[in-house]
Amino acid sequence: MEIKIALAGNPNSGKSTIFNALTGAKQKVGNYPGVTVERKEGFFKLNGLKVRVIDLPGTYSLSYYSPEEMIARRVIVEEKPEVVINIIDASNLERNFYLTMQLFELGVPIIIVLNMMDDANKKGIKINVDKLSQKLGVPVIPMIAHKGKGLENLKKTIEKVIKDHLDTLPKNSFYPEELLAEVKKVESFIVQKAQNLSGYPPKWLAIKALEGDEEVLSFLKKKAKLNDDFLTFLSEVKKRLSEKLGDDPEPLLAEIRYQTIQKILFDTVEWNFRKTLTDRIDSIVCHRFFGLPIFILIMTIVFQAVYNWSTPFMDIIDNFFTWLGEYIGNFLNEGLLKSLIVDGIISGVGGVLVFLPQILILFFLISLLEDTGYMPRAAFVVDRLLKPLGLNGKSFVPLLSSFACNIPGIMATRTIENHKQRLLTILAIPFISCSARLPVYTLLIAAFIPQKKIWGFLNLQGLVLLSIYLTGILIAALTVFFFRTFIFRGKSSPFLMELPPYRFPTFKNIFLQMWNRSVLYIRKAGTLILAISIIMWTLFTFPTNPKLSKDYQTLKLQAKDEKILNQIENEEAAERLAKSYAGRFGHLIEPILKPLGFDWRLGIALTSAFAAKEVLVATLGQIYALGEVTDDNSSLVEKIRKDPIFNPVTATGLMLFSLLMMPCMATLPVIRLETGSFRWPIVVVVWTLSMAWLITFFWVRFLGPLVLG
Amino acid sequence: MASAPHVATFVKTVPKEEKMLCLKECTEGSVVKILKVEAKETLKKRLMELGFLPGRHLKVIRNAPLKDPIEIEIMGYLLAIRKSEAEYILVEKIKGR
Repeated sequence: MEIKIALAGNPNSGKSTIFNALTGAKQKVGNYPGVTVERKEGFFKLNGLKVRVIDLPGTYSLSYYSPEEMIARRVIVEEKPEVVINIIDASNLERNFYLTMQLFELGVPIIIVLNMMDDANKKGIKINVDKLSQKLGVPVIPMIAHKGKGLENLKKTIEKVIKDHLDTLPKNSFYPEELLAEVKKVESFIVQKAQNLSGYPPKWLAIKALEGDEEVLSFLKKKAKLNDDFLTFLSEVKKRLSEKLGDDPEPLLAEIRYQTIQKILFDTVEWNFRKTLTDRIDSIVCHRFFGLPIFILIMTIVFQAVYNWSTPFMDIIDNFFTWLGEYIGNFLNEGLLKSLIVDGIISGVGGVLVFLPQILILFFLISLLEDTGYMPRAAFVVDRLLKPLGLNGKSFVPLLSSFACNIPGIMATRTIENHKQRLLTILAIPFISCSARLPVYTLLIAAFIPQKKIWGFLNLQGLVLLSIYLTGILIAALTVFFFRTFIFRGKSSPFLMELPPYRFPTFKNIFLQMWNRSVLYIRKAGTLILAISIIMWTLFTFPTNPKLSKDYQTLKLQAKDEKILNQIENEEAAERLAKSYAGRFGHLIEPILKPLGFDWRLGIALTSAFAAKEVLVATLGQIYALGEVTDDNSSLVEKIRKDPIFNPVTATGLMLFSLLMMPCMATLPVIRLETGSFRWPIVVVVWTLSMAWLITFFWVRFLGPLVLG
Repeated sequence: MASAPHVATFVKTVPKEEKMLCLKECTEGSVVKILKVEAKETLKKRLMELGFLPGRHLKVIRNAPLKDPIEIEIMGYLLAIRKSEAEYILVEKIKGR
C-alpha cells in the first residue's frame, strides 16, 4: 500500500531539511508542467508502508498571486494527501502561522511541526507545546531537523494517522461569529447552486470568494457554472460584513487571521526577545561600509570557483572522452560507423558531461550560501544596482556565473523566487559572454586590433575586449527592458525578501542539492543535448562522397613527404567541409549574412559555433585548410589577415555576432528544463538571432567604419 | 526588540495628519507604529499577509549599503523592502529620531 503526504511551510522554515531527513536520497525532482515551479517528491518506508512525500513549494500564504501558491493549494486539493505536514519555524511563529490558518480553512488533516526549536530558544521564545496542540486540536511536534531531533516522533505520528486513523482534522473554528455566519451563507449558496466543485471544499471556496480570489471566482463561474446571481449575492454579503466588522473582507480576513494567531499564541507562548547571533553578523555583512567589500569578496570567490577551479575537472573529462574515442576507434574500421561512434556519440556524451564540474561547484556554493543565510543578504546589498534594469538582487549570482558558462547560470535562476524575474533573468543570460566565446575574441583581436596604447595607459586590444563584454551586458539589459515593457506587462511584482536567521549548513542538504541538480541536468537536458550533437555531426559529415574537384586519393599517394601529404589532406578536408550539408547551409544563409560583410565560409563557421562557441576557431582552421588548429593559432591569424573578407570592421562584427547569436546547443535544453516548456528556448533563438543580426548590421555599416575607420 | 506580540494591538486610532510619515522616511533604529497601508491590490495583500497591519509596531534596522532597500523587523523576523514599496506604508513614530 502506498500513501501520500505533503509538506507545506514558509520559505526558510527548514522544509527541505525535513524532506531530506525523511526521504534520504530517494528523491525525484522535476517541474510542474508549464511553469518554472519545481516539483519535489520522495519516498520512505514506514513499517511496511510506502509513503510518498510531496514537498510543496515554500509559500507564505495560499492566495493566487504567485504560481507557487496556486500550485501548493492545487496539489493539496487535487492530489488529496492523507495528511499535510505543516512545517513552522518556531523562532518566527506569528508569520508562519498565517499559512497554518489558511490550511485550517482548507479543512484537510494537519500535523504541525515546530522546527528549529533551538533557534526559538536562543531568541527567547518559550512554547508550551502540549497546550498549543490542545488549543489547535491537531498534533504539534517540536523538532530540530538539522540535528534529527523529533524525526522519530514525526514518523510515529504519521503512522498513527494512517494505521490507527488518528483524526487530525482541525475542528476548532477561531474566527468571529459574524464572519462565520456569513461564510456559511455563501457556502450554502455554493453547495445548492454549483454544478461541479471538483473536490474543492465549499467552505474554502466561500472564504476565497469573499476575499476576491480571482482564480476561485473564475472557477465558480466556469466550472461550477454559477451565474451572476452569485456575484450579486456575494456583494450583498460583503456589504453586510464591512458594515458589521468595519472593513472590506479582503484586508479584513488578513487581520482576522492574525488576530486569531495572537489569540492562540497568547497563553501558549512566552516572548522574551534577545539579541541573537544573526543581529551581530548582520551588523557586519550588511554594514554601510563593510557590506559591499564583503559582498565583492564572496562573489569573487564564487566566480573564481566556477571559472577556474572547474577547469582541471573539465580537462579531465575532455581528455577522458578523447582517449575513449581513440581507444574504441582502434577496434573499428575507418568509415561511417567509426565516425558516428567516435565523433558523434562519444564526443557528444563528453560534451554533455563537460558542464558537470561547473554545475556541481556552483550549486555547492549556492547551497552553502542559501543554507547559511548569506544569499538573501547578498541580494539585499546589491539590489540597488539591479533595480534600474528591472531585476532584483536575487538575479546577481545567476548573471555572474553566466560569465563562466550560461548553463550553470540558467540553472542558478532557481534561487529567484519570483517567476517573472526568473524568466527575465533567463532571457538576459544568453547575452552574457561566457568563457567559451573568449577564444573567438582573442583570435580576431590578435589578427586585427593592433597592440597599441591609447592615452598612454589603455591597451587597445584590452579595450576592444572590454567593449565586447559591456555590449553583451547592455543588450542583456535591453532585453529585460523590452520583455518587461511589452511582453510581461501588468502587475509588477514587489520585492519583499525575508532575511532568515544565519544557520549552520548541513552536508546532507548541500550534497542532495548538488546531486539533484546534476541528475536533472543529465536526464532532462543531457539526452536532448546528445541528440542535437548527433544532428550536428550529421550536418558536418554527410554527404560522405561529394564530387571533389581533385583526385585527392591519387595526389596523396604521389605525395613526396609528410608535409605535402598533410597539405593535401587539409585541402581535402576543407573541400569536404564546403560540400557537406553544413557547407551547403552556409551557402544557403549567405544572402542573409552578406549585408553584414560575411560570406558562406563564415556561415559554416557560425553554424559550427552552435555546437559550442569556441568551435568557430577550429572550423575557421579547417576552412583555411590548416588542419587542426592548436592553441598557438598564429598560422590562422596569418591566414585571416590575408583574407580580403576580413578587415577590422568585419572582424569585430564577427565577434559581435558570435557574442549575441543564439547560445550554444547545450544551453537551449537547459532553458527548456528551467522554464518547463519549449516556448522559451524558441523565443531565445528568435530573439538572439534578430538582435545579433541587427546590432552587427548597425556596427558593420554605420558605427564600425566611424570608430575604426 | 520591537514588536513583541501583545493581543489586540490592532487598535485603530484615527491617524493624525501631522504625525503621519512614510516608512521610507524613517531613520535607522526607529520604532514605528503602522497606521495605514496605502498600496493597491497585490502589494497591499502581500504586505498584509507578511504582517503589515494597522496598529502593529515595527523597527527600521538599517539601510542597505547603497541606501535601498531597507531592512526592517516585524513580528520578530527580518524583511528587506524597497523604498518604492515602503512608500505606501504610513506610520507614526514611537521611538527614535
